[in-house]
Amino acid sequence: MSNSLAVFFIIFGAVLAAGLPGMGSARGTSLVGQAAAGVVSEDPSKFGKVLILQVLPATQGLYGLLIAILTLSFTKVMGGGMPAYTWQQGLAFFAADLPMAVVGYFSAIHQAKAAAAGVGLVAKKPNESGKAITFAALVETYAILALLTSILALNGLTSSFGI
Amino acid sequence: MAKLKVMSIELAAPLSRKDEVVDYLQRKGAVELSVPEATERFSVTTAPDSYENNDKATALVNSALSVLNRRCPQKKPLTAMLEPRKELTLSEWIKRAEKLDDVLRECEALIRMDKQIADRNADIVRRQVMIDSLAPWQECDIPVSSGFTKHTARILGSFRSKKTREELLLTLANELPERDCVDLEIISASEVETCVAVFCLKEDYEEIENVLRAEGFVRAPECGERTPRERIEELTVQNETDAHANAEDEALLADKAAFFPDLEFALDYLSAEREKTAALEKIAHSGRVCLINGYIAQRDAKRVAEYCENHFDAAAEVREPEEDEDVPVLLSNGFFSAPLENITGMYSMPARGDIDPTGFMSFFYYLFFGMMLSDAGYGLIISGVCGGLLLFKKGLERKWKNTLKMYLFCGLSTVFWGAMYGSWFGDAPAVICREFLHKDFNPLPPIWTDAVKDTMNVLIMCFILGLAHLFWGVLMKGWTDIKNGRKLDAVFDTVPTFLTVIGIAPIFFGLFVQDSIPDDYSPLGTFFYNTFMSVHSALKGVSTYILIAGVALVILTAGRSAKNIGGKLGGGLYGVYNLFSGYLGDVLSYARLLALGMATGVIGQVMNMLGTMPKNPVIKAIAFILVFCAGHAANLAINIIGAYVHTNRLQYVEFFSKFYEGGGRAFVPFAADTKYYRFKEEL
Repeated sequence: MSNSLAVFFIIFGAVLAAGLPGMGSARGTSLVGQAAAGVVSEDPSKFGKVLILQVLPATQGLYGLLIAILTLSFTKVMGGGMPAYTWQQGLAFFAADLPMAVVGYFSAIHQAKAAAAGVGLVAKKPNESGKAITFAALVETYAILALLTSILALNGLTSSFGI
Repeated sequence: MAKLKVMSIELAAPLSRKDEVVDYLQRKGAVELSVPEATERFSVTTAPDSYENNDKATALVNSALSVLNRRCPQKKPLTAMLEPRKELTLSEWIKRAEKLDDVLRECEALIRMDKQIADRNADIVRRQVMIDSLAPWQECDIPVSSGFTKHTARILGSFRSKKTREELLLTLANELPERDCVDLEIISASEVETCVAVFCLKEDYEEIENVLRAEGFVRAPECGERTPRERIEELTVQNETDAHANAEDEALLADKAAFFPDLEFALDYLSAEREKTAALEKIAHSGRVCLINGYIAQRDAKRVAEYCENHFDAAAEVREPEEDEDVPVLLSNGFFSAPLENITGMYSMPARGDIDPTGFMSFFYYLFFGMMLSDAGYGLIISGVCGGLLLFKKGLERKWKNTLKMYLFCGLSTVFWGAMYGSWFGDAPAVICREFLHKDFNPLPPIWTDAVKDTMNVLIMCFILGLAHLFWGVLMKGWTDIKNGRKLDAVFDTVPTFLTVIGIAPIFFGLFVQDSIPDDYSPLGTFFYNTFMSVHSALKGVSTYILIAGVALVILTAGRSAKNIGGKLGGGLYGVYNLFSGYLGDVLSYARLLALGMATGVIGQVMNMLGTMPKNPVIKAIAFILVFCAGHAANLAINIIGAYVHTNRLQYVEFFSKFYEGGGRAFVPFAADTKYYRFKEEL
């Protein structure tokens, strides 16, 4: 019989990992979308270019979902055969989800700000869209590093707990 | 796989043949004109009038086109945007250009007709409102207007509520007992409106109306000498006439599909003329001779020069551009790399000292794209669609050909990585076997390893590929140095970096390396693991020495451009710091190869899981098909954009920063920038 507090921590971690970056991405894509709609109202042919910028802050939500699913499947909460956890172990999994949850949320919003500025750049100089994308994509590095940290932590926990 | 050699060209032609030369150059589209310097004998004239006329005509055609698009919508197939521009020979072009005035007149007629329809529709609505407001007065057999005879007054109006004759008369009797010479008739009454006609003595009418107004009485609108019924009939007839006319005009407009080609040609012609006007502003002329200056690719130079000399009595001179000239850049790459010229262009065109990076990035570009999308099923779809279009769609424009080719290669690479990771629409093969065939096995197991379960080994592979990519960029730096005649720099820019990074690598990889691999690991995975481990442990022993040598070299060489010894040393130390922090960040950045790949795979698996949730086998099959199609389509759409963006980023930020300056100017030839038609190659 597994400790229900441990399961709570695991699920709570997964929920935060999927939820916070998801919220960040929703805010981010909306922010860029508003700027993009303004540009497209002037020149519909720029749709393709600004769409790419809008999608950029959407990846944090995906990374968050990835961590949520990895947490649930590594801990065997999903898919059956869950071993008994102590509440400290559950808390450790919770902590492993935090980098993605927190950094995912904030990096999505800040990336969106860079991308929205990039939309302005594309409006004035459509040929420079490569640079606009690069400015925004630089921000994403930190979401990726957080994702990496979470994956490494989850991986480390599963092997050290011998699951 | 390089920048094309661009030459400077100067044409001197008789002024009388200026237009012919300009037309030829525009059709050929091979020369970029440059603004000449005005001298005493040669001047440049501008013609603002022709811009204004051109703008007016273009606006006219555009609004006619939007009228036609609205009134006569054409069904366009999904592949419409792939359609090539139609080809016209020069004589056809001229023949159609002569009809331009007719087309413009027709445009005016179209717009007028459209405006009339709109006006009539507005009139119809206005009359309908009037008819509605007259409807309660229908029973009134006198004109709905207030007026006087010699002694009497009649007031027509309505209340916004239900009133009876008795009620109103009682009110009047109460309020004005002495004014008894009054009568009223209810013409119509409903819950919301009561229409009445009031008759009284002329001298009483103001007082009476005031009393009624207190009850909510409002005078009826004046509407001429006719009775309401006559007026309603008249308005109805007018509306029918207008509706009929509109129907006729609309049918006429809806039948104008054949006019589209004329409009499209007119737009193209006007845009070509506009560019010609702009070109003429770049041509200097004296009383008899005009001078055309520009740049041309070396491969076209001879042909164009000879043609001009033979056909227009022109004198052409082609020469190497001067050192300080702002020469535009033209890229030329082979089948495999040409599609990526756009990607380079989006960053920046190579400057004078740069090499064209397109050919050098193409292998890694396709490789990384595939690794990030990493689903063989998705790869099959992309490469199938692009390959199919390339094979079966004839006469594609170059731009589209290149885009399709790029995604074809990206798709093939995706198939490769999907097979390596064993991801075919997520875990669809295993899911289908388990859920529908009730056999627990995976018909398409990963050739290498499952990225979702074996993250550490895949991560190491990402870092190794990243390191290879970065080193390739450093080599390009050396190559650029050699090209620019700086052989010593070529050594100092590359060797210390290689030594330092290789020296530190074992420590870095030690963080991620797995002590063992599972027994059922794939043969390829085992091979990778063993090779990596042997290199890793071999390096570990000597890495300290390599590192020391590397760092020493960096300290000695990185500050070599500084003037004094302090600056050299400072530059060297800064170089070491830069190298460590820079390369750590750069290499970690390649973790996105794993992250995006996993994101595709895991979300694909979730889609398959959702589809197989129902218990009933029939419902399960239906749900699976629906969720499979919609879910994987969405997953593909999102991840294809992610893969594209992040592949570009790895090229721009990690790769280009190692050697590429950029800042060149793209070659923009003087040509006809048309949307619907193009010249048939006959020159």
